Amino acid sequence: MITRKALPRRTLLRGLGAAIALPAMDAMAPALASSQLPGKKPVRMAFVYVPNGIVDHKLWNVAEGQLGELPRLLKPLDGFQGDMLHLGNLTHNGGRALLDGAGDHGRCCGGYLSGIQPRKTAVDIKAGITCDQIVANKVGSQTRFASLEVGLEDGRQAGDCDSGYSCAYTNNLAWRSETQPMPPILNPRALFERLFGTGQILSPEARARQGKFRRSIIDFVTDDTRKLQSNLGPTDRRKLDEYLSSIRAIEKQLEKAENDTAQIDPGIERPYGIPADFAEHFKLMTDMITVAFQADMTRVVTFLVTREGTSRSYREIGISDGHHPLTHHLFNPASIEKVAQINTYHVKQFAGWLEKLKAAKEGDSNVLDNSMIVYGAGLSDGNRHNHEDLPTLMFGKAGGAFKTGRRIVYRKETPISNMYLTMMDRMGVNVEHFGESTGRLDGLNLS
Amino acid sequence: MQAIGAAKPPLGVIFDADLGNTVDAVLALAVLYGMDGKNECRVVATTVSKHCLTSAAMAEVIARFYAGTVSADFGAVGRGLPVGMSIAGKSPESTPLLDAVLGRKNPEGKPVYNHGILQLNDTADVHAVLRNAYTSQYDQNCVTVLAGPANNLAGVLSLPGAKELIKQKTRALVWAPDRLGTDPAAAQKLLAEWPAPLYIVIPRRRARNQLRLVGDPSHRRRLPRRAADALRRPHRRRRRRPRRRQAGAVFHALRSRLGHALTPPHPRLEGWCWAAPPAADRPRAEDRPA
Repeated sequence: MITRKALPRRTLLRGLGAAIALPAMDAMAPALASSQLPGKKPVRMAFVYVPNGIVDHKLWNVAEGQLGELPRLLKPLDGFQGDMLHLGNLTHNGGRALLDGAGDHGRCCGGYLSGIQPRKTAVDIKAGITCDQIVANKVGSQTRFASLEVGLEDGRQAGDCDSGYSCAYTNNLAWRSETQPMPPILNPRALFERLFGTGQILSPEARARQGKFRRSIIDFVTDDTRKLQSNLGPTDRRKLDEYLSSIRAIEKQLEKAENDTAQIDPGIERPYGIPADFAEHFKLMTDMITVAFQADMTRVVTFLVTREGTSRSYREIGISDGHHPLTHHLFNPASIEKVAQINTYHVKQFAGWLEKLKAAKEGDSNVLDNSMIVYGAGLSDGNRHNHEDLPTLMFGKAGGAFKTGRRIVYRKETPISNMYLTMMDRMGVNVEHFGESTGRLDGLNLS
Repeated sequence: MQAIGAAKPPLGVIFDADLGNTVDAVLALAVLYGMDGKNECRVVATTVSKHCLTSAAMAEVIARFYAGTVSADFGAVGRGLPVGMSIAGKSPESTPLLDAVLGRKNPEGKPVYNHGILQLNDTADVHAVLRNAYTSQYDQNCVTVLAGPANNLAGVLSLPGAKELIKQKTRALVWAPDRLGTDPAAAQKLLAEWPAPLYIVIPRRRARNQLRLVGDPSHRRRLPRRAADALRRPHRRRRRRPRRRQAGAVFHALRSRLGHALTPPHPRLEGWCWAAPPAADRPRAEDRPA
């Protein structure tokens, strides 16, 4: 007779002012259940948005069919061909002028995930509910956070950011309703405390004072951890150790980032706790998203790498010009080369995140296999400001549903909303139409 | 790029045809591009209503032949028109007309007329092309010219919000219903649901007995079944000269300033083009024949 009871999926390690969710463990599966039950693992979706399009499609596109050697801009993704769907000819018609004149940056980002054209205004903003929020509304009740909105660059939420388009359009990816954007979390400390603790964000001085007495969040849940460990098998014990170690590693990175303030030029106000280094900031945020996915704290993430139309410079790779001015390169080879380096730099950071998702085991698969991670932009060519053949990559097998490792070129003008519909289907949200959709994307599924 | 405050550009024309069956549709498209070159209209979308790559290639060949005078599509400057193609139903074979043009070689053995449509994904999603073309037009500043079956436009009508969009953007649909019998269900849907004025271009002698009134949607409520039934009648096979219905549709759409003095649009088209009179002159509903 089998009497073993499964560990509840929502088990938390609790301590004073802290609660840590757990990753999926073997002990959470019912006795005699197969670890390979299809469709039982949660499927996640994430959108990683990069601004200002890409520099040249010849450096991005590959031949249709099985993926082999990757072009220059995608070189950092070597090794991930088997997890990738390289999609071509997806179009966002709402990003086009459609009689509204200039403002491609505002339009393409503001309507990217809703598939519509936002209203040209800096005051009474109106876009559309985004597909991630539709999914969050439906499946969000099953997780601690319905969705997470993350970003790396600070930006205004009001005022005119692009030829009459509100900053709300360029600086937000997710929209809860037509008029309510979901500003991304930029501060790693804020994201960490949202995920793992309830402490308030203190001033740098107060935090420095408190730092002397700081303990790891893991210290607060020691008793619970010990109790749990005694009930776990060796595999789960190792998994728990790895998981807690990854949280501790994030804490250490945060502490390091906070100490970075000394490196900032005096007189320049910088938000507290944000690393000076772009790559480190990217890594910190994606580390936390990985943990959130692992622990099933959320299944929906939007990640605005930097705001659309950004003029951020990348001194860490030797580029002191602004990103946006560089994209209008007037076919100057030096400028084109710099934009190519920025595009590759973004892809390189993203590849680092994919590595972690792939390393996060989940039964016989991994978190990446059970996800749909879209890496894309609302502009196709940053110089031409066009909105067809958007650079779009999708990673992960959506829980075994998608056949990856291929380049699929759809018919011209195929709405990118068709992709959102297909993804929503995989998340268990069946909607007949969305945005400017004309159907679903075919050719993604295994069958 | 069209900017706010700028004067309205010339009338946009969305052209949908089953290119390749007869020379009429080819001539019609040529006429449109000729007018485009003289800034009398803008060809804003070209779509073909049959699943046939050579038909789509023909549309692109015609567009390239007139390159330099073709309007930029969807408000974007500097790129060619994507040719929308229906993928509904079985793919019909190419026709002698298409083969004659696309297979023509120069002395070096290279094609005389180049095109870039070699596989399915060189064509565009037809419903997206049509819908996107409407979205980029000023209100009441475009007409749709349909020369062939109605399957593409019927599909667009099924998209959410499409009827409102079409009503807002288009002055009319001008339809030269050749080979209507290939998709009577689509014709029924188009006649019943098209939200803007609709003009059917048809020889007067047939129209007199078959279609009395096809104009404003409110006048079409009781007509669809009768209209579709009538139009489904087989055409007479004997043709001594090329029919000019499609060409008539184009002339009609562009030269007659829709809504004013519609019949006849051009003296040479007398007897070939039939259309509803302006709203004020139309017979009342109770005057229509039973």
